[in-house]
Amino acid sequence: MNDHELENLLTTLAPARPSAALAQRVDRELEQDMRWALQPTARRAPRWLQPAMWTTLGAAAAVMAMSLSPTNIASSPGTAAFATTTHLPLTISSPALLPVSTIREIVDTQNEGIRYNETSRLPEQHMKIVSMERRAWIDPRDGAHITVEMPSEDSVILPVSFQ
Amino acid sequence: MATPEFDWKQCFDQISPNLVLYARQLTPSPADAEDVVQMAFVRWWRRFPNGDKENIPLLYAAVRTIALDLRRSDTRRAKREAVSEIAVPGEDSPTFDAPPEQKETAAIVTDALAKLPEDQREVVTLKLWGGLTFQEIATALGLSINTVAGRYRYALNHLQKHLSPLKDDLLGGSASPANVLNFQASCLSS
Repeated sequence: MNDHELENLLTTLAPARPSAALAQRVDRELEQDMRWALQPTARRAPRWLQPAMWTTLGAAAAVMAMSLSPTNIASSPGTAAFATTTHLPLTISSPALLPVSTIREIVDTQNEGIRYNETSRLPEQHMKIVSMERRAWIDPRDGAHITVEMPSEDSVILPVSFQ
Repeated sequence: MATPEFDWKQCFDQISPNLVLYARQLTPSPADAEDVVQMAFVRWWRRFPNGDKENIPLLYAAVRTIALDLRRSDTRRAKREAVSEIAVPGEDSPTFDAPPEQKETAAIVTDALAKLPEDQREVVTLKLWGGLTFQEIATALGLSINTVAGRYRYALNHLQKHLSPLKDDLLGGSASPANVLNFQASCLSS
């Protein structure tokens, strides 16, 4: 058998077709790409306009809140906090955003000493851990990064052995 | 004008059997080969959404890179390959889509391919079933054209040595059981 015959023999064999699931998997991945690509990109306002807009909106909200019920605000100090509630979680749950990372950084620890449990009479180490959780998302349409920082304070109780 | 979706499906339909065959020369199981082809094709299509034929060597290069990465990262597989340096393609699904009268020929060729050293096997797969030129194979593998041609030459010599005893049967489309047994015995002894 010469080289030509051998090559002919080998090329008569057609490689086996891959499973149908493979094409479906590729389809799913590329379809996801297309969805991002086809989403209309919002026309961006000039850079200086965005802070100006927020400032105006904030001022208007403050004026409205003060003019509507000055007595209520004075009587309930929690109202101001409710007024500053943002809709950030709604924005972040958008399917177009991809979660990138979640990092929890311990900022401070406080040793609150050893205390005895009132019921079990066993010693316990009480600690307070102050941490900052940073969650990041990326918008694949334009590469924009969105980062949210969430401070938290945890009280931790650890068992203590004197041995 | 064709839609992009039609384009990728048509392109994938034509090229995926060859890609999977090539991936199977580098991975031990058909499932791994399909995973590798999926990753490589998606990456390649994102980069070249027109599916130009001139970029196909890069697709094979992507398959190779991903297959080798997968192999390196999988410690379980690394242990298995330490026993046998040759990554034998999976045996639970056929490598070739052969009609019934060519089934035995396909099995013999699959065995003969598996006996080749990996570097020769990938060159012969890219040349014969991938349809790439020596220059394109050299680009995809990052080798000189002379090295590629040399490997192909050695691969053909090896295959001839293994397949010549069965020449009549192979060219006739089916191998006799006695010859197949002799061939398998010679492969085991070599």
